[in-house]
Amino acid sequence: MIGKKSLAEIRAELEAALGKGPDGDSSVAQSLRRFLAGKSGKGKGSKKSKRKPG
Amino acid sequence: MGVMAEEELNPISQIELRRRKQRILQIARQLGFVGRVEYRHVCNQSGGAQYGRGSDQSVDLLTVTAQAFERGRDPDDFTLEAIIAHERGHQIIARHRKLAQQLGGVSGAAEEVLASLIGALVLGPGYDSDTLVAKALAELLATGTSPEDALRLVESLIETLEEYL
Repeated sequence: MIGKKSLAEIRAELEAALGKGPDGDSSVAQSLRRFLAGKSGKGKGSKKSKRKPG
Repeated sequence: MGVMAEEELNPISQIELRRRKQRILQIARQLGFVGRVEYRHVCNQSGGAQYGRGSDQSVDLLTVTAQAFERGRDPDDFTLEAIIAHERGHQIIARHRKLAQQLGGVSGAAEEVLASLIGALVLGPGYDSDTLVAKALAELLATGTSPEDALRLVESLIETLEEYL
C-alpha cells in the first residue's frame, strides 16, 4: 500500500532534511533535486520500461 | 490482512466505472502486473491500491480504489501510475525468484521502501519515478536514519535492484 501521506507532505519533509536536494551526479541525487524543484510534474509522465514480470 | 474500514462514496455512472476499470487494467499491464485487477468504488486505509498475493501469480490481485483516482487528480499527490507501480513493486518482491529469496524476511517497513524503489525502476526515468524515490527516502528518514545514510542506502538499493531486474 502506498500509504496516505501526500506528495506535498513528503516534499515538505525532504525539504526540511535536504534543503533543495543532495549534491552529486548520482541518479538518486538528480531525481530528488527534480522532485524538490517541481511543485508538480504531473503531465510529465515516466517513460514506461519493458521489464518482464519476475 | 485484516478487514479495512471503508467509506461509501457517491455512485458513479456505468460509463465512468467502465472507464476506470479499463484505465487501471491498462496501467497495470503496462507495468507488468500479472493476475487479476479490480476496481472498488470505496475509500479505505490503503491509500488507493493494494496488492494481494494469490496461490500463484495468475491469481494475484491488484485492488485499486476510488481514492487512487482522487489522488491522481491532485497536483500535490501521487499519480495513478505511481500508485499502481508501487503495488507492482510488491508483486515483484513476492514473485521474482531471486528477490523473493533475498528479501523473504524483511520487515513490513523495509518492504514498503523496496516496493517504492522497484516501482520507480519499473516506471523508468521521469516524474512518477522521482516521486517514488522521494517516498522511499522519506520513509527511511522517518525511521531516524540520517539524510546522508538514507541517501547512500537508497543509491545502494537501486544499484542492487537494477542488477536483479
